[in-house]
Amino acid sequence: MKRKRRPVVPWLTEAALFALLFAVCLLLAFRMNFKDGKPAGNGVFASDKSIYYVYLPATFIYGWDVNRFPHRCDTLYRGFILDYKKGKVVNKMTCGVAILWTPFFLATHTIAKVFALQPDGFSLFYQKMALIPPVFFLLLGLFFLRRFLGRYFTGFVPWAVVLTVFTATNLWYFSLAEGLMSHVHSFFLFALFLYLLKRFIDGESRSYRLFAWLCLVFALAVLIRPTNVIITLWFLLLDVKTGHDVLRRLRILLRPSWLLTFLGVTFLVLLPQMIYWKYVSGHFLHYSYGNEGFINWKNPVILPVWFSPFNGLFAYNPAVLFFVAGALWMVFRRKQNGRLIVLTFLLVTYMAGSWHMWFFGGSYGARPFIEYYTLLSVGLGWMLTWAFRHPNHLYRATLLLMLVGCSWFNLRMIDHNYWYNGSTWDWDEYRTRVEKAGILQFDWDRYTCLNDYENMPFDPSLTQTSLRVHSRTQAAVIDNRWPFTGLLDRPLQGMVDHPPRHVEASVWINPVWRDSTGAVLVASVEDDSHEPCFYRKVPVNRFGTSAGQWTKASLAFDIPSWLSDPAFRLKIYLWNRERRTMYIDDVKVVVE
Amino acid sequence: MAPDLPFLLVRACLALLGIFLAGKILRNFFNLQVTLITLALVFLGTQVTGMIFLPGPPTHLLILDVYLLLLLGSMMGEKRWIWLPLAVMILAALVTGFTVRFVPAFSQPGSWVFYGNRRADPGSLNPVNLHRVLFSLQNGWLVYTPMALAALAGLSFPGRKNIPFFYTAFLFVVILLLFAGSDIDRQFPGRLSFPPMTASWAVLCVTLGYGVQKVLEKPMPVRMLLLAVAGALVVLNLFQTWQVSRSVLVPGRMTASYYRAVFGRISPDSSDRRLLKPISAGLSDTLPGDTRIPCRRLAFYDFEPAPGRNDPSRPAKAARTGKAGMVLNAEFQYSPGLSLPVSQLDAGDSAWIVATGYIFFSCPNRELKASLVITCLHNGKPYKYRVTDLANPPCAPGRWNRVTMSYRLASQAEPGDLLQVYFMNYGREEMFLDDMEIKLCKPAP
Repeated sequence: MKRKRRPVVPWLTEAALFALLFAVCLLLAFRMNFKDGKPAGNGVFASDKSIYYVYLPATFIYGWDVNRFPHRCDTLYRGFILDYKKGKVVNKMTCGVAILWTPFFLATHTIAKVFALQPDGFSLFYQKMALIPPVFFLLLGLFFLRRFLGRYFTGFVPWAVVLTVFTATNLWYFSLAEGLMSHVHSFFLFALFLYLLKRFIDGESRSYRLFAWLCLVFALAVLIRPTNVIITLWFLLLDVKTGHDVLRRLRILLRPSWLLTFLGVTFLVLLPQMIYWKYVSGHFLHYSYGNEGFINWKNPVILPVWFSPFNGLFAYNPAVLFFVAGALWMVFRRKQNGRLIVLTFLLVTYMAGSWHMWFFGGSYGARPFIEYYTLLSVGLGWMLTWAFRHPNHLYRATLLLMLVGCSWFNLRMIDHNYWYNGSTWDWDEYRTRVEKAGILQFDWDRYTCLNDYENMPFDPSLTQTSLRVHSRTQAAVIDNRWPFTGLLDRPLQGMVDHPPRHVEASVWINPVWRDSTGAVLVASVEDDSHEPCFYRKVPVNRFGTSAGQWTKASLAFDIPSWLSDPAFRLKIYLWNRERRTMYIDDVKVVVE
Repeated sequence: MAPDLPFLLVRACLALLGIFLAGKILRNFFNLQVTLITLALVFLGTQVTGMIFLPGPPTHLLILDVYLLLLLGSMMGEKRWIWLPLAVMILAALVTGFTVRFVPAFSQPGSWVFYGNRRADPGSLNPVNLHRVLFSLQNGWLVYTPMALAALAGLSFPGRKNIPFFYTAFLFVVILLLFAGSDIDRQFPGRLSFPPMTASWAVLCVTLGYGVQKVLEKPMPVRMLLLAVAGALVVLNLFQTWQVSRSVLVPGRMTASYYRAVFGRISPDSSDRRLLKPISAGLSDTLPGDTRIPCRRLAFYDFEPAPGRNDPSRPAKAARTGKAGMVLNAEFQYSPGLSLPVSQLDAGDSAWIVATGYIFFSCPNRELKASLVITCLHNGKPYKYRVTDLANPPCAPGRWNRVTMSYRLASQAEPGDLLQVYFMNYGREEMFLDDMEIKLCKPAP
């Protein structure tokens, strides 16, 4: 029998691979976040990322004194708030990510001080160094995921699954482009949790120490994102076969000393957060999200979370279809953990669909799922194992080809990603993105622009509202401050691949006070000096719009053939002549 | 018909050679019965039929024969070289694909390497048109060669029985699709199905053969049913090839409604033609400068008023030459020009309209809203509209500016389509126009 060759130093191969991947990923992250040595877009610390990060400079540099922060840096990053009246740093997100970053931050700060590199916590040096921890946790996460999967699958399957999770999902985006968000850190902790849990379950080392580690990882995960508490289910249900197994698992948790450990570790990990809450609100427990919450819990937005071009899970990460299909197949074939994976998937869907902003802002794909790919990917592992055990090579070749296609699609979409301007089912906007990403080219005989105001309105005269909605969760309200409300403003050329001939526009209107709005729906073609060359208008009153009811106003016209100058723009707007308040929703413009 | 005769002979020879080579390959796998049925299906039921019988150069038939030859040659080695066909075919597909994709990148007239069929985006390998290659109504491979679906399904049989051949066929087809899908603006008017995929039948004939073999093993009723379906596909393919030859099917301008309207028909109604897509813009509008193309004048306006007639649109101050020119302003927005059916031009496959005129304006450039327009209309709707903005440099105020624009007439224009050429001023500022000339330029046959 052939003896298996063991490496001279067992960990050396993995360490070398880790170092190589670390260097490559760091270069990629740098490329995605910096252009010509300067931060691309709004910067590395912009928006939510600054909220996770600000705990560190606040603790180690500014001593939580708002007056010592760089003046008005909160308005620059638009995440955390420096409340100069109360003298407090107001932060809605929890501090788990900051705790994981602490060693990296201290090292960065020390270097900055030693080499006099503007040690203010926000300078370019800190921004560049801030790319290191996400890459580090990404690779650790992938490492532990492979170890976890290696306990279920053999051969190259764990490697293939890990590669797919990394390259074919939005984990790539939220670890390299937006690595300072919480997801890659949760991903790492989830992978570690599963790896430790599997070792614990297999009885390889069902020790008190392993349990304590599990408690620590669990508490850190919850501290990063409170909804991560879902993984408690994994502790109870992973690898269980019967109801008795669940009870046995529960009994382990309820042993007094172990329960005490769980509560103690969790309390210690959560303590910094409670101290912060006491500092900011006067209470040790505090809901920091204000009006934001799971307001859709009675009527969760499910299908858009999965399929919408507006950050839908499958629309941007088609590889996840294989994860879910594999899990469903596992259920169908009564395989272990199939039901747990499907249950987890449904719970995360419910959670994401219940959140007031189900599309999670300027996301790429549905980001709440990222950390759960750790368990969902077991479905793909099972599918790959099945395909590679099947005597017909067509299945494995086709599956691999499709996974490569998914990775290619994902990487190109990420490389050309930009803020989504469309609405829930605005497929033409999605087609535009796919085309701009150089994935597929389409024929543009017809262009349909939809706006259901789920996304933030870009016209200053509009305010998002959920008081009266025609569809889904949001509409927009026009008040008496603005005479004109833009519904569409696009160059006339380029929407369709021939000179545009016909335009149809419609909008749903709901007046607040009177039976009429006094408004006019206008479509105009304007030149580069904003002078209308051509326009059509329709009084909204004519449609019998009555107070408190939604009425559809529409307009259709042919575009004269001479309007073909590339500088011309098609503008469709509501002219609120009498400055009344009204709600609008579901704008639809079709250009042919 | 006469110009196609040499090509016809070459196509016939290549078809015979292809049948011979494919037969030899198939005999390595199957008995005579399966081989004959498969040959019939491939050469009569797929796009290969169109390559043989429809006019045009025999490039894709030649490539098919070369691949067949390579496959046959690599299969004749020793038994331990069972992976040789894979290596040979993949290498051949890659070499061919990269040559076609990348030669245009450094191909220049006057250099040692020249590739006549230069595309807008040479050198990229990005299958942005994969969905069109497979499913387009214009030339979609699976749309007009449904036999390919059976052949692709047939991959399942070598996938279980003949692993080396399975990977040869699978990767070969994938590579062909990758290169075919990377062609950004390649269209194949007058071709049924997607011509570059013709080469795939070098390997797909074998997978189809596996399918035929399986069908022949089925019980009689099932066998008869499946063979009847295959026969129907052959009949459909032959009929559609004939439809293309008679321009009943018009690849490049097909729409779903037109396809439904002419399905099974030997001649379309004139009303059906309206369901076709408008003719696309076609090739470059710029008149080739390096060749002498003869032009004939279609119209000339010196805007001299008729004797004894005072035309306010033709004042003396607008004259560049002669006594008068035309003024274009808010009152007179359009100049006279040309408006006549394309059929009267006898334009042939490639012809250009060249419009020239002299304009004068006093206002700053940004305030001038005037254009020179050439457009073609189909059923009253413009399908190719080209415009020159007269406010752009080098036009300048205070002097006479010569303005010219060329426009390539679409080769497949309908007889009733209308050509229009005119200057227009849709702004408030005044502009003078004089010595307007419209020419038709057409290469000598």
